Amino acid sequence: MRKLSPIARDGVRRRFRQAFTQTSFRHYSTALSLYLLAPLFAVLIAGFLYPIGHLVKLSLFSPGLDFSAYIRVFETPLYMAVMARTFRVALAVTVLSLLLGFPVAFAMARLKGRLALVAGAAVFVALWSPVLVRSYAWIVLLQRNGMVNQFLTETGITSEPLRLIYNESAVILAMTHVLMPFMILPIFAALRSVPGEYALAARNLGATATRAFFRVTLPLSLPGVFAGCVMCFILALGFYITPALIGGPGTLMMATLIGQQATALLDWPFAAALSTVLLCLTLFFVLVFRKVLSFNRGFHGVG
Amino acid sequence: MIGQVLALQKLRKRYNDAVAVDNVSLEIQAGEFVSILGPSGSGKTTLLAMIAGFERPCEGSISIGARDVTALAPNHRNIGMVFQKYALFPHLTVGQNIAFPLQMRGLKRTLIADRIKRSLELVQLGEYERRYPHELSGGQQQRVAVARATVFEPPVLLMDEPLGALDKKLRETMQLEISRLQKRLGATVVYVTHDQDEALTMSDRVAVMSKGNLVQIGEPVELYQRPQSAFVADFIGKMNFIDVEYLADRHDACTVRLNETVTLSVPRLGANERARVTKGDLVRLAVRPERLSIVETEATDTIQGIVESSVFVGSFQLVLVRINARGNPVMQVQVPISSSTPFVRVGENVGVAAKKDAFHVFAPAATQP
Repeated sequence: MRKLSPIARDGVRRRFRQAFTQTSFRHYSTALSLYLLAPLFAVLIAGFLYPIGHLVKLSLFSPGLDFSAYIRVFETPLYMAVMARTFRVALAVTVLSLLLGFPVAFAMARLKGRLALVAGAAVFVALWSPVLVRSYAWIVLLQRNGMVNQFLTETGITSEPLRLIYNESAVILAMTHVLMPFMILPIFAALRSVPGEYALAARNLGATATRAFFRVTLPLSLPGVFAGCVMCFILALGFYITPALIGGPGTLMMATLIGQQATALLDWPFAAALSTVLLCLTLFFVLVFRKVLSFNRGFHGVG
Repeated sequence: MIGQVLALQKLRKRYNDAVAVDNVSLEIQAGEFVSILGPSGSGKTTLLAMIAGFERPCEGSISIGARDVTALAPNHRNIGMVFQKYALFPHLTVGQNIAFPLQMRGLKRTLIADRIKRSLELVQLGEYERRYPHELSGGQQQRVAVARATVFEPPVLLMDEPLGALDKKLRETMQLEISRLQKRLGATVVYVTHDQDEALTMSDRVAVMSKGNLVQIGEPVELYQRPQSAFVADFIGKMNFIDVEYLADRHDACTVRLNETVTLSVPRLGANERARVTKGDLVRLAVRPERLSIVETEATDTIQGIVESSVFVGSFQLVLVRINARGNPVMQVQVPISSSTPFVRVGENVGVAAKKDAFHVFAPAATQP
């Protein structure tokens, strides 16, 4: 290593110090920002980017460049059907969560005092309790001798137990239950940031309560609605536990399929290919949603 | 636009135990500009919310023209309102904001476009129709809010501290502009403010509220010169208060004692207050700074004191004199700059005097209305 003269060494030290001290109290220097972000980047690279890169490599090289795993994904009707089902279920869950979650978020944003606390607790307890427990709860409810069937047979509505579980509707129902907090919370935050004055102004200007909602409150909460939908849809695409427990063999979804290939059949290249396809599709949807979101930037201060 | 009479009768609003508005009756003539003036928490915003229909009064009634609107939903009242923070819809352009009340009334598209244009010209924002509210300055947003509240020609226009968010200079310009617009439109205006200058300069009449009650209503001059209570005297304009001893009441004046040597002859108390005080009671003597002058110490009937400080304010000199009376209060005296009276020095002994009719006397209980 080249030996630096004392003066030059001093200069380096000073420059180094300058890079890490705040020159302005409103902005951190670039070097300091990078230093603060370094731990996050390290974790992301080691725990996320590297495994994904490895996965993609696994799906493409065996050991030479080989697209056979991908060809198999797209040429086998079964796998395409699984993919279509995954998207259908994710979409259904998102729509259902929105329809059921918006009123809850709206009530939470408007409630005051003890009731607001109860509503918030209901949502958060649902969010904090383990997914496994919530999924098993649905089995208890929907199985052949479950509460719902008992009620139906004992009241004589049906003569024998219905097949309520291990089908697509049951999966959608249980997943909606699990993912609804992810829809409610962003919408709640958005509604909370819309001042109540806007609705009053709309009423004052001649709008009925319904029109005031659809013309003013709803459009102003759209950023929250989009955020909730993106989160719900993307989480639903990769959901594993609930479909695995509630779904039957006829309701196989992507995550479960990948799990089977990787752990049961030990076909790693194929599991990697499936994962890569799912990952690409998810990224595609995130970008599309972002695009839609940026169209709604006129809101300002709310979005 | 033709204004209509707005009549409030014995309005009362209670929230659990707290009374926000207590027994307020007020009749505002068609085309009249009335300010509701009061400190925060005096119930003026609640009163406005009841007129607009956002709050239902517990007792009493509200009518516009011949129509009783007490139980009517806000969207059926046809009242214009300018909100404190304007409440312009952020997702709609200026034009769409102004179109909103017209769309709600089912007007034809071509008619709406025409009305928007006229309304924007009236507030001098002709070319801003396609902008979003956040792209406008505070003053411009304020004008859009006024345009939106008046475009459907409501007979009554409510304004809830509409100039509170603007700086002093802009506020003065907007005061004139709102007055001009109101004269032109002829609407009945109820203007809520805590800024007394605003209320005095813009209004035909001012209603002063305190703790949910309407304590005095009158023309600005009347309120300023003949306050009926110590609260109004203190709230409107600057006022010096001195606690004095009540001595005697004659048919045209009463005498009060400041200290051992000085007694003053001042206007009588109000009739019902007169019954409450007897010789030797403490009463409050009030006098405005601009009615006082600095005189020679030896002159009779003057209040003696020592100059504590003297501040140059621009149009006048403000002299603070600690006077020789109960509690040794400091009195503010406004001395015109151009006057021939010699410049006073700090520490100097001076006399403070005013004409007899410059004084007001209030019984102490009246300070808590």
